[in-house]
Amino acid sequence: MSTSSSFETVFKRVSHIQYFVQCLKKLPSKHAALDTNRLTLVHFAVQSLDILGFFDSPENFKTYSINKEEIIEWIYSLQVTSSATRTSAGFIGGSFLGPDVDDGNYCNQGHLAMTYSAICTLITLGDDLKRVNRKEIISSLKYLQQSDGSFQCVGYGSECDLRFVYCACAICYILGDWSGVDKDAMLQYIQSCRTYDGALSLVPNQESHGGSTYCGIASLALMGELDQVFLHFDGWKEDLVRWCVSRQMEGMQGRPNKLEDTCYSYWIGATLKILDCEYLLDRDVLRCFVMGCQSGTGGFSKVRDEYHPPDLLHSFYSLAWLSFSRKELHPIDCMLGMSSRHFDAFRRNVV
Amino acid sequence: MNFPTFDIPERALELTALCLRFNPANYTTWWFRRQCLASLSTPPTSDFESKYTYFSENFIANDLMLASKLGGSNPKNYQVWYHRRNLLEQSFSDMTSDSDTECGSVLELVNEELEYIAGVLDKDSKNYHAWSHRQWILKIINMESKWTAEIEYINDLLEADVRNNSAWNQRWLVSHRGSKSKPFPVEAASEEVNFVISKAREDPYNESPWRYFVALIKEQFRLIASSPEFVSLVDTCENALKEVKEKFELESKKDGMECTHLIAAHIDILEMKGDEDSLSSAVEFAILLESRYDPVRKKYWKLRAQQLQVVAN
Repeated sequence: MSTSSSFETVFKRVSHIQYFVQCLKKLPSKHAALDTNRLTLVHFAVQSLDILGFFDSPENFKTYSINKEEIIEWIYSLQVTSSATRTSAGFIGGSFLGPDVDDGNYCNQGHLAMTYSAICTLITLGDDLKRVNRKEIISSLKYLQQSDGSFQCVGYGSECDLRFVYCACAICYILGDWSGVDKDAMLQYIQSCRTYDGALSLVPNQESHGGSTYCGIASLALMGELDQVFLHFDGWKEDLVRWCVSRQMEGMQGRPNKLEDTCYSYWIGATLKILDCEYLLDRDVLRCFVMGCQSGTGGFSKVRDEYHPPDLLHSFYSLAWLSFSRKELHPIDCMLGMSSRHFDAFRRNVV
Repeated sequence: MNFPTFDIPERALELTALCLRFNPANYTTWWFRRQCLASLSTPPTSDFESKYTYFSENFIANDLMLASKLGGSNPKNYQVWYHRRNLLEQSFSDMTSDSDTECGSVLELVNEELEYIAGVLDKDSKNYHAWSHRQWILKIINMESKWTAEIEYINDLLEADVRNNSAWNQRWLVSHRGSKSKPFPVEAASEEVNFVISKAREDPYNESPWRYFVALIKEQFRLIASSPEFVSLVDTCENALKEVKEKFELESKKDGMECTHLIAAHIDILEMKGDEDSLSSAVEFAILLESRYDPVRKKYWKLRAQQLQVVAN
């Protein structure tokens, strides 16, 4: 048996489609803690199905009983509007507070990450966003941005970090409207998250991390400020590239001296892609690692062992990275984390 | 922003505890619970003012315990950690009281919270949430005694695992007293380099101390560039690095070039020195890493060698 065939793993396209379709219909009860984030789970599943070309064949809808319009309607049912008591418009993660999303239920504040997920998913499903309350979402951002430039995710307060800066940037970029944010303050905040070893932490002074590094660099790219920032901080780009490539063992680790995890293929891979340096990775070795994390019944787990079953997050981000190089997969936009071709189509229609 | 008031906040409070047992990640439930706690809390004086929400002492103690119970099997739950922070925000940030008793009880709370975090880190020494929370406390109380004690805590963690990058990051935070505008004092830099080298010696393959080492020197470079103090520091550092490599080769009978993070650090130092010989050595090292010693990163090292060549010319 040759070495290459022992590492060669067949891409289980049909199993993956079955996995994501199943997730859209029902999730096991141990996902209860993600009840408030259902929209993000739908986003992962829909983007993944698009990568796999599921939506290219209309007969799939019948075969797998998936109804695009139903998903679109469900997403719109989670839209909330601004009011005297509701400072963040946008989308909520699910109907966990009951069906009333009108003014009466002030607890139902729009959640920044759910708004991002909703917009990305709607576009990938071919929706034109005409029913999205763009003005309210953009003006809500003023209530979510903090004096240090960071963002909380809901009107009544939450932890603030680079994840929500990224969500805000993606929303502004997609809707083509930055009037609701203080860009300079955002820039300051991102810069304050630079670590001594060249990457970005989730909050200032914290440890360099693959996820936060992606959020910060993608945010800078979406703002169109990447080149300026690198001009200002001489040597930072080089340090950043070194940090990113140093995360590769076979697979990618999220932090120095931590274990490899498939989702970092995307967080780090996409960061390098934004910097035009993705070619510096050993893609063959990384591909072996990611492909080896495929589950027999579809999806990808974070590592290649029997203790970690596949989950939506790792399945999506594994596919997202694979989509950069596998010709039969529809690529993900490395700045937006959503279907590249659908975003391009949406953009063309807007213009 | 004025939210509607409740008729029976005590009952609402009970219900939130029930709901949280079903889903401790429901951020709306946590927020609603804090609304109930706040409405049931009475500030110490009638003219009490703070930019943070006031919670009564007994509520703080009780809810920290609730958060510990719910956080136990969910150590990576953002909402539970945020709840802890919300409970403590007002008393920690307003800790400027002249009264010994008042300060004393808050200090006790600080110690208990740091101990709780240490307990979480004992089970997972790299829990990102735990470290964020710990950093928040140290920065907000900003007590010299706590910064000093933290160095001891970090040293214990590094004794247990010299590869703990979170502990290294914490060391950077603490030695800079939580501020990016307070670079490492020049006099103390040599001593810190000695500490880092002693740790690097334990495992020269370990990335963490080498990145810390390079960052230390880069910071000094930005401060004192081509001054004699910097030249002397860099020479000391280069010699220390070479000594670690030689000792490793002697003891292990292996090629020191395999310690790619050590070599990468050496390349960074040589680049900082910037003279023709140093740059030429740096290019040589990069080419060796590319061609033989760091195959996964060979494209990166090729690029690095090219970039160094450009500087040399």
